[in-house]
Amino acid sequence: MHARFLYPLGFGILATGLWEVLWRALRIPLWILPAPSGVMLKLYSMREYVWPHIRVTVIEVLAGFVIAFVLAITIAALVIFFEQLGWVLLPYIVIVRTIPILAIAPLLLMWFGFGLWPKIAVVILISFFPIVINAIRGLRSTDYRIMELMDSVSATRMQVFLKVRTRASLPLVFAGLKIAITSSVIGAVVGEFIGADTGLGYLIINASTRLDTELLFSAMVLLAALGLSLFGLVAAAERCFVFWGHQEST
Amino acid sequence: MAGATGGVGAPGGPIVRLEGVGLHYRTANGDLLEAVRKADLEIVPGEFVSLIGPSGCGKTTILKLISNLLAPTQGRILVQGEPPSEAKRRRQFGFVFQDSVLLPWRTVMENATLLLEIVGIERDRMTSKVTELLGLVGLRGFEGRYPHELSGGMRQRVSMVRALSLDPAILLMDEPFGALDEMTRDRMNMELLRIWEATGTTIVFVTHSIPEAVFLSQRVVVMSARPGQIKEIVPIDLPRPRQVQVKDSVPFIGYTRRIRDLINGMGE
Ligand SMILES: Nc1ncnc2c1ncn2[C@@H]1O[C@H](COP(=O)(O)OP(=O)(O)OP(=O)(O)O)[C@@H](O)[C@H]1O
Ligand SMILES: [Mg+2]
Repeated sequence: MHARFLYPLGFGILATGLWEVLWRALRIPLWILPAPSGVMLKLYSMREYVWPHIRVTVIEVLAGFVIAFVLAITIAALVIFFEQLGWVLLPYIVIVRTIPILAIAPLLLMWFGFGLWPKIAVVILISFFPIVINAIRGLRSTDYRIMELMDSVSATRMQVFLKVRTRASLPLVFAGLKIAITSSVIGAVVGEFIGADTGLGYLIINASTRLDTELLFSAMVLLAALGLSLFGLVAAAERCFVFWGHQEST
Repeated sequence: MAGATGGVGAPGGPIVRLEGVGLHYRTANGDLLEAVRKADLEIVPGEFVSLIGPSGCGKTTILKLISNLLAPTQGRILVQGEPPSEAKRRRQFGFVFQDSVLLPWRTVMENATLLLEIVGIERDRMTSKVTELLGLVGLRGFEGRYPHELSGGMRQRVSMVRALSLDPAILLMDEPFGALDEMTRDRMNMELLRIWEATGTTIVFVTHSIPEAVFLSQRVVVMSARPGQIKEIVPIDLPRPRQVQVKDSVPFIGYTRRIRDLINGMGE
């Protein structure tokens, strides 16, 4: 395996080992902090029970992320074509971003019911912003000399958009997507805190009210794994689409 | 090549004509900045003319004026006997900038055909046209490479092919080799002359290098700064086709010294 992956993996194993050793040496009570071994055993013994919760959270994250993506890209493209639309929308995009989710949580439940949709709505609210801001910036990030070149052959705005802007925007679009995908995981969990009977967020609330620290940490391990995998997928897509080497090194 | 000399202007007349051209930029804080003052210049079809002068004397501005990226605030410009906007509409201008400004996600071939795609030329004709030009600049076999896989000199060659792809009557080059090392620059100079002879294109060439200007041009336009003005036009009478050895000749050195003195304000 590549050092790029071995290093953080090695660090994780070391840190977990140290935690295990200290936990045993200091005889830390379970209700304060569980041991890694305990968390792993819990996870293994409850794998059947945990599975549907993972599935629900993944669905919420992906659905919200994809909808936010489509919305954000559409709006960014419209803003490129109709600058005044950007003037109108941008303040409201910022305002929506600053809405405290918990404040409108009861409303979301009222509007969308108790199922997946209020959680998906929270994911959209949280991940829309970084995508739209970066996409607009990316679509505008074209070299002025390329624009002069396009001007010299009387290219239409549509041609400039399709042949230059879309591809030129990708490095920044992916920067936005990386922030958005991790925010989406947070969004889904927060959405589940508001009111849910499944999902990893529900599991966390449930475990913490019962002081089941091993289950609590199990859920957090699963969330971490989910966030890492999704981030990895976006980063892999970035390497694939932005092959000319200006992508960030994350 | 077709279109290189074909124009609407009177036969034998200048292809580019600047008559008392002036340009004021409006700066960000609203002031007017006089970038070019009373420029008179006539360029005949097929000519190779260089613009040289201190930084900020308005060389790039003059290229933009000729190609209708800017409109003059005084005077008049004619290209092929018409306003530059007409020549632009007929796609008579090709551009090469200091760095190649290629699209990094497009291969050499795709970059070279970019403008042809915009204009809407069918793929077969596009490919054969560009393949011919890539051969002319020695890039056969590199069609599938991406810009980041090329050297600076090769990238600039692609940029030249892109500029030539529409058979422009006038090629505007803004310090095209300024970012290259000296050896590459010398090679590119020879190649540019070969291309110029093969295509018959009129070339307006901006440079900071006096020897480069003397080596390439039929006439060197020396400019002075603040405000940008044409100080003198120096005809270069050296044997063609040019050989590198000419750079060691007495007349060559005489020209470079004369132009240097003009730029330093000792020529009057
Ligand atoms: N868009 C602009 N707005 C305001 N001033 C400008 C603008 N573009 C150029 N200028 C000014 O006009 C003058 C001429 O600029 P220009 O770019 O033509 O010079 P140049 O001879 O090409 O210089 P260099 O050799 O450094 O490229 C400069 O003083 C510059 O600051
Ligand atoms: Mg310049």
